[in-house]
Amino acid sequence: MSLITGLNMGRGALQAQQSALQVIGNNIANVNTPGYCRQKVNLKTGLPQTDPIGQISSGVTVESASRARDVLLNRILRRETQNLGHYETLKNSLEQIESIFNEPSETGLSSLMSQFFNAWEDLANNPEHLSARMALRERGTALAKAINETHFRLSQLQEDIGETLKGKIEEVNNIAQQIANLNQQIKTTEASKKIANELRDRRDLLVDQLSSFVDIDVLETEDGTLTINAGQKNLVSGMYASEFGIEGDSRSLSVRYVPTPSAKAELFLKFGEGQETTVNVRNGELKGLLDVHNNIIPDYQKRLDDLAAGLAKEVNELHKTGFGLDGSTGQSFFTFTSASSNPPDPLYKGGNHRGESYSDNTGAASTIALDEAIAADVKKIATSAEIDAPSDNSIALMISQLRTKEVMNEDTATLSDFYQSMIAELGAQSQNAAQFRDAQELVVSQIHQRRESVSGVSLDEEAIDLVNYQSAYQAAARYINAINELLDVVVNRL
Amino acid sequence: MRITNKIIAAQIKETISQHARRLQESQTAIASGKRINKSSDDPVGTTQVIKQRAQIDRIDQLNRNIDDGLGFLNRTDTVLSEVRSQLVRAKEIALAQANGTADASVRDSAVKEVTMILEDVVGLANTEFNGRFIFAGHKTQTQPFQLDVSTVTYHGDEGQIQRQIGFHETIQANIVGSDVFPQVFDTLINLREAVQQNDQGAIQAAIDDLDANIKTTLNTQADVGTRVNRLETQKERLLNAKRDITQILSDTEDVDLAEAITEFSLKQTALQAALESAARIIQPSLLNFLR
Repeated sequence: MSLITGLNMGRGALQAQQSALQVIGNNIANVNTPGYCRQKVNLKTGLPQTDPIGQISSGVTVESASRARDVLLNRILRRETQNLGHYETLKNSLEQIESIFNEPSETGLSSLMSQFFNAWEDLANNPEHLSARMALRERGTALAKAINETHFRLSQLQEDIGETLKGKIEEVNNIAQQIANLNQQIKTTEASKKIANELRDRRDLLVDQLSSFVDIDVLETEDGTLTINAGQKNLVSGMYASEFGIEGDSRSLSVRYVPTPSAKAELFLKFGEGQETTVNVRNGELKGLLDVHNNIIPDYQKRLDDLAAGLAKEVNELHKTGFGLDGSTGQSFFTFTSASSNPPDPLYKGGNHRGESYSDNTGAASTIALDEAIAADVKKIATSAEIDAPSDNSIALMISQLRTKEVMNEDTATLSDFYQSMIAELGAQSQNAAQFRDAQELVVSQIHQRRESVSGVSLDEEAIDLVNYQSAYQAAARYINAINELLDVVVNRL
Repeated sequence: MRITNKIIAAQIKETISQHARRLQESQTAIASGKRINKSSDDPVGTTQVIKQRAQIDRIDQLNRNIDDGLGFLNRTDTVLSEVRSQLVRAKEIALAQANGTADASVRDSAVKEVTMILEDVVGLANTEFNGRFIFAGHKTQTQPFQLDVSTVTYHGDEGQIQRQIGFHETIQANIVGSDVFPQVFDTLINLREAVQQNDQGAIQAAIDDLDANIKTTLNTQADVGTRVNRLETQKERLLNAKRDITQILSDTEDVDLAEAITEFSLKQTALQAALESAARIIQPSLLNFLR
């Protein structure tokens, strides 16, 4: 081995340690950067040279800097993040629905219902008195208004959720576009056999984010680009991103698929014309929002409709048989204001099971009100079974007894049973969602930690490596110095 | 497992926020005094709370109904007592006239007295309570009895006024005037005529009728008394029921303060311990020792 070769070997050693120090510096700099994967310098011995005494290594070369990551953990994390997104959305929305119903409280519907029936009994005690009639009118109005208001606030929540859904879909499109851009950059960079570590880190982070919105399948192709299917529709393919849109009306929304021309062509090849364009969202925040918007809120609104229709029908039926102070009869107590675009069927059909169509009582809760004639003249409130019998309170008593009469669910539940079971179910749903979410959060955080354990930067480790490579650098410098002195002897002293 | 700075930081943050959240929940419970603040806190408990509150509301209402009924019946009882004492007076007058020895002027003043009694009893039969004629059946807005010299006409009806006094129980709160008064009026009018004409037979008959009327009035009063008793017993029973339900409601929805406060301080200690250990674990680093 010549001394000059020795100098080269020293130079190679210096360079290798320096590269390693640079990677350590990069690791330390990115200790808190989201999505950053710890990098490691891969050193390799130089090609051995044949020497009369045998093979002598020619020092060290830098092979690559690689990311420490676990592909399997990434997959698991993304799957669990979808679940978390789903439950989190459910939990938040159900909590909002709970606060709309505001039970148990003194101001909830149950309390207003009980006050309404109490007012009938107060009136039964004093059927001749206008003050008792006015009190009942106030209670009746309060109850009807509260039902309207509850229904209205559910509609508002539904609208808000629709808006949120739009926002989330924009985010999905945005992320998909960014991933497509990164695909392109990575492909270009890696064409020259260099691994684009930082670009891949960024892309992985985006895929993580995407997974909280919707169920995704990720496939890495040979050229380093990712193909992503979301809700079983191709969202990203190479440098192209398709888009999601929204369709439907205020009652029921769905996610529409807007494929890129190339994805469209592929779909056409596979399915022909008229391919299904609705995305089948199965998980993630989008799924949660769609569930709440399309199923959960309409279900509670429908039950409110049934309650309002049942209340009005039963009270009216009795009320019509009675006589008011002014001798009027056949008068309804409650009515449904015609302001509704979709007036309820005046004949309440008594159907109130989950999953039934909305046909029966739609609009009852949003439009129930006191009959105008009653609102204008409390003398028309019917308390007597016969005409001209002002203190006959038999009708008032019968109406007040409605509270214990089983008139709902095909005559198996009272009005308050019906309402209470709705509240109990809401509570249980919300409790479940919260428990699932908490459990899921734990799962996700554990996987995060496991991944962090593989990919994260430990400052202590880096400090050790720092000292290590620093010493190696110093030793390599010393070695160069030694060779230099040898050369000095050869060149100057011989 | 490799532990990195980020894992430590994340875990500390998570632990501290978890402890803080628990502490906050505990605080909310103590501040509101309620174990159930929304239905998801305890879905089954929530329905129980709603039911129990409705029952308490119901009992309060029944109590109001009972008080109203008691007022009605007590007033009726007082009026019937007064009617009875008027009848006793009429009987005294009749007895004084029964020996046939009274002269015209004595008879004349006796006739006047009976007329006054008659007018008085008609007045009693037209008693108003809370703006209602209590003996008029359902026609409480119409004066039930009209006296026209020697006839009394009834303008009420036979209507019974019911009060809801239990979850499924009602009681009649009124005495229908036509059940009690017409006989009394007939007797008094007959007596007046008999005294006027000094018809001893008729006076004797009137005395018998008066006895019968007094007995009927007494029986009616006894009937009213029974109803008053029933209302009072019912009131007592409802009071007990309300006390029990209030207790159950409190057990269901209220926070046990002693327990809650103990729990609060336990959670406080846990949070402090977490903070303290966090302060120690994030400090040391190899970098501190390298020169």
